[in-house]
Amino acid sequence: MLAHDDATGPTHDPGPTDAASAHAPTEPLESIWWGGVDVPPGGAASVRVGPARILAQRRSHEWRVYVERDDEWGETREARARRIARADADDMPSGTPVLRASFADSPGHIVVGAAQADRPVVVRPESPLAIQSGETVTLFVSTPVWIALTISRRRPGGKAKAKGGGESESLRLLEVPSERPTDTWFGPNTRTGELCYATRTSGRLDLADVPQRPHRIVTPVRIENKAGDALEFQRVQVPLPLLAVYRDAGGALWTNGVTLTRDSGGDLAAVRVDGSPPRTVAGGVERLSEPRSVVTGSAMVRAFGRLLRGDGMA
Amino acid sequence: MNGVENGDSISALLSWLIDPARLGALFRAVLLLTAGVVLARGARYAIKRGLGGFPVQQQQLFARFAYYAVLGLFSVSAMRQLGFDFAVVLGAAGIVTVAIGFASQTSASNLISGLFLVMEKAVQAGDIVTVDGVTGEVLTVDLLSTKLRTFDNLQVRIPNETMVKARITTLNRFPLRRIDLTVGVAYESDLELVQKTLFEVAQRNPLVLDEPAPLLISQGFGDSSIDYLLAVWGKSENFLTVRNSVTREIKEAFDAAGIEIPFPQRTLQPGTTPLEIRLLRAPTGGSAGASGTSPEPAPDGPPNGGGTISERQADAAAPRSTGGAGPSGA
Repeated sequence: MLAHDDATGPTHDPGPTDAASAHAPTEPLESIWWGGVDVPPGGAASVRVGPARILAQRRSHEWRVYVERDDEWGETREARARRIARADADDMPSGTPVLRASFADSPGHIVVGAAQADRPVVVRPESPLAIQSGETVTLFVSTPVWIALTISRRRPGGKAKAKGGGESESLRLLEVPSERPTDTWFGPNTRTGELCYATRTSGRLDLADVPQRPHRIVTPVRIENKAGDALEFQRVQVPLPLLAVYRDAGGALWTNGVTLTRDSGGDLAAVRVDGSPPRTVAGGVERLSEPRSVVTGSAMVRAFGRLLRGDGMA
Repeated sequence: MNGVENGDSISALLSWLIDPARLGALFRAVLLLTAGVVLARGARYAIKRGLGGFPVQQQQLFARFAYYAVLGLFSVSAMRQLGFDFAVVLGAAGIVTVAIGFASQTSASNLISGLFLVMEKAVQAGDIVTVDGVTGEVLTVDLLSTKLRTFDNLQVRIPNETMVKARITTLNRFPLRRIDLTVGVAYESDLELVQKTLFEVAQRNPLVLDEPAPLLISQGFGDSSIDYLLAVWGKSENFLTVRNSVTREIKEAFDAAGIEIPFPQRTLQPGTTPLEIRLLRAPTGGSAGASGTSPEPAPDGPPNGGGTISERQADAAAPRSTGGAGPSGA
């Protein structure tokens, strides 16, 4: 499935009344789906993020995690989410769990968080985009959010605590994308390059045009063309693992911005990650997850490119 | 008598051994051999450490060479201490070398081929290769042969000489592979719909790379179908998964879109006279003659009922063979 940010779903946070009218009572539209919940032995918890529904069942000695995907979701692409909550343990899917984590005594607190994709994403504008010499534009790129499941023990006082009496002991069970993007290759040829995720964008340059959906994260990509010639590109690589995830006051997900500066002709650009929350977002923001990897300063990378030929002649 | 002779020889050996000069030589020889073994092992270890960045088989090759070279030198020195004259040995070695050369030319060829293989890095341990129709994972590249493990878990030993001469295809050298799937559709199919469906299948599969883009090549008009080649790209390690999943998804998509994947078809031309075929009903009971539909012809007359198809074919062909009235003969 090729991730596409052109869905026609409603914008975020319509409120409880809108949610009740637009969706079935069991699938309310909530913009905030992350959080934690205590699950007793024999209990379960579930969360829905876009097309993905995750169910985690706690047993005495293990956690079982099931992931269901709504096959028909692709037709409507409606922006639906449901906050993590306890679920009926008898309502587990009949299939094989995607994960069984065993313990001497299973921890009882499960936390669902938002995370960034584990690979860079290659964004293809639907039509080639040209940036004139000396111009700077900000492109808003939407990518699927990764859902991270973590379990921990909770002290009666409320804080997570290690089994041995030390500080918090938490274990990341798994991470799954809300919507699996298609793989793609970013490199000069089929022999050298990097495996990335693919997404298409209509190249929105105006923040007001960006739809906010609970299962997607918006990244402001600032492109500075300081070279003497116009930059016309068919794809641009955005280093998502270097970015943190934030939520704004309305519950929408953002990453910090990334700036690609092209100083000379060609496909190379200096990548600089903003250390602060996205400047484009007004109001208070909360940092939900850390970057997967960290770079200091700026690095030159092959950020822009043209399409590879499918006949392997590249 | 024999006991006396044996006693004499033992005492002679003892007296030979207890000669201080010989004892000293023996001691030096043992010392040299011991030092040789230790140094050879040290050289092997040092070379393995020093060539840490090189492929495993190159490390092994050089380490082995150093081990035996050092050990050989010390062995020769030890034997010189014991009084062996190597001038004679070297003189005889020329003749022996010729004899051994003829006897071991295959081994020598494999040995030299092995060196070339290692230096060229044509194959390395862990590569998936196809050599002479055998596909498998390279286990080791030794001095004389290369060992493969086939996917049905057999070990195949291929002489290095063959490896140098043969065409080797390495399946996992590059990170990406193109997966080619040939699919035929019925002549009645809407070809625009076929192409759209195939591209959609490739686009929906997350393991099929968006870039390099899938490729659709018309293969021409086949006997029973119009053939297409759908070429999609994926990571090399996903080759089988992509191949199997895309094949299944094509079938499902074609079924959903009403696109027929035809079986081979043959149109039979019965000749100038149309072939008459009559469906016979099998007797449900009673005598065959009573039903009047027995396939058995009457013993003295025309076939009863419809007769057999072969008989009717013969009947139909009769006018043609005699040049009788038929559409073409008219």
